[in-house]
Amino acid sequence: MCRKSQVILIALLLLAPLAAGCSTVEYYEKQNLQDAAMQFEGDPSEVHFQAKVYYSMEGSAGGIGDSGGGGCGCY
Amino acid sequence: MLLRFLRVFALLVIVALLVIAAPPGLVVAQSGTSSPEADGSGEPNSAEPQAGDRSLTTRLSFYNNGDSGDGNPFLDESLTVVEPVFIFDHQVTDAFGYAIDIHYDYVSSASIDRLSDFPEQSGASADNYIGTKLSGRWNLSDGWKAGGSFSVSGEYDYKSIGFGGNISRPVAGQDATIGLSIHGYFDDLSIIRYNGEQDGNEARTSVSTTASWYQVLTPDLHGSFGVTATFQDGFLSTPYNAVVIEDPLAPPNPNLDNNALGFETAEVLPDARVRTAFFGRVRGFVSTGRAWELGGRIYSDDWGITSFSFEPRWYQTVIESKLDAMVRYRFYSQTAADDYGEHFFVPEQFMTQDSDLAELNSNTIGGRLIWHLDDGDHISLGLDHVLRSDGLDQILATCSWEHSF
Repeated sequence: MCRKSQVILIALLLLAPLAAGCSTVEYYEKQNLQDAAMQFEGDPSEVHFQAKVYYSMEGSAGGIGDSGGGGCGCY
Repeated sequence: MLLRFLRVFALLVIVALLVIAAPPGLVVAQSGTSSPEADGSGEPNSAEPQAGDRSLTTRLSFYNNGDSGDGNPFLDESLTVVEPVFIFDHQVTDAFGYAIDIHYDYVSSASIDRLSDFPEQSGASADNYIGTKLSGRWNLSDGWKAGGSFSVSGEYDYKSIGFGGNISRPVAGQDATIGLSIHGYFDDLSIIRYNGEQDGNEARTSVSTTASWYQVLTPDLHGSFGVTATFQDGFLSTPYNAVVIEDPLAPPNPNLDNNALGFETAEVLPDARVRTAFFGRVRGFVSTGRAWELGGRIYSDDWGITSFSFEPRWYQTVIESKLDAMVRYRFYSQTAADDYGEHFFVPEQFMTQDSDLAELNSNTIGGRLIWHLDDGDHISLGLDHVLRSDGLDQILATCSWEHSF
């Protein structure tokens, strides 16, 4: 599979669930979303480390932490 | 390039203005989910902090990649980083909280070690990075949240000042939260070349803005999506990176790992870069204490790098209220930068042999364990093993303790 096809496939996989967002979920239906396993973690120290390592050891940036580059001498 | 960045930035601002101009949301009352974080991500916190809550998080992280002839054949690219982090967080009132972060890195690498051959670069056998950030967050009316941050950091040859701001709000009737954030870093680099030569000081500016969208999708599924546009301007090469110009008539070069025939010259890369990343993740409920997540990112920049990553995760409560576990896999693939070359025989306007700008794939396997202690504290252990196609495999390990008081 060529790279363009891979990118399109990943984009579709990521965006497909948005179609479900067109209907509102009632508040009494949201108990499962409150489960501890469903919480998006935001440990800032882990995010900071992951962002710095990935950004400095790969050619891309963005989507991890709060910045898409800069603020790091980066090894 | 600047025009392209301004177009992306203008688009993000228009989206934000449209959202801000929409009628105030009723979603907070409707949703029943916890409120989104004030970091502009729009993602919810599991437990909203209460006035008076304070916590101190201590984390020790370790990173290592060896080099047994992999990656750039001319250079030893081994690297070890040890990073202790301290974060003090205080929710002063229901409407305001702040955090102070202190990061320290001890960096030991072959490239830095090489500079110790040059007496004028005293202390360069290791590098010490220290950074601190002060951030504040505000809960405003109608579910709006805002935040701001100021950071300073420095190393032996590097200083940086950073500013950030973010705002998020619920979207009426859509079970959604939208956020916008902007961060800027203003860096000053003291240029120390691979051979110890000092080449004055240079500036680097990085401005990045992220628009994000959190969405409840079904009673068992929610997700977060976003786009980050980043513009960088100034000295974007790595000062100590060298490029080998191979010459079959030259004597073996003892400075090179493989004693190749040729001479070294400084890496040169364009002085501007526009980077765009689309990212998202969805998490689905399986049963109490069990959930799956699918995440990914598509990235492109005007240096010629295109990348995508794909990251499934599994979350599992092992012992209720005591032990949680997460396992993850990450596939990452990128194309090479236009100016990357494995071999150079004549100097070019732009050229780099940095392995991180080459074509590569990586597979990461890892996970995390979290112990919840009786007093509300928790201890977390994380481990990831990165297997790269160029052989520069990496180990990332973290251990943290969050103490609430």
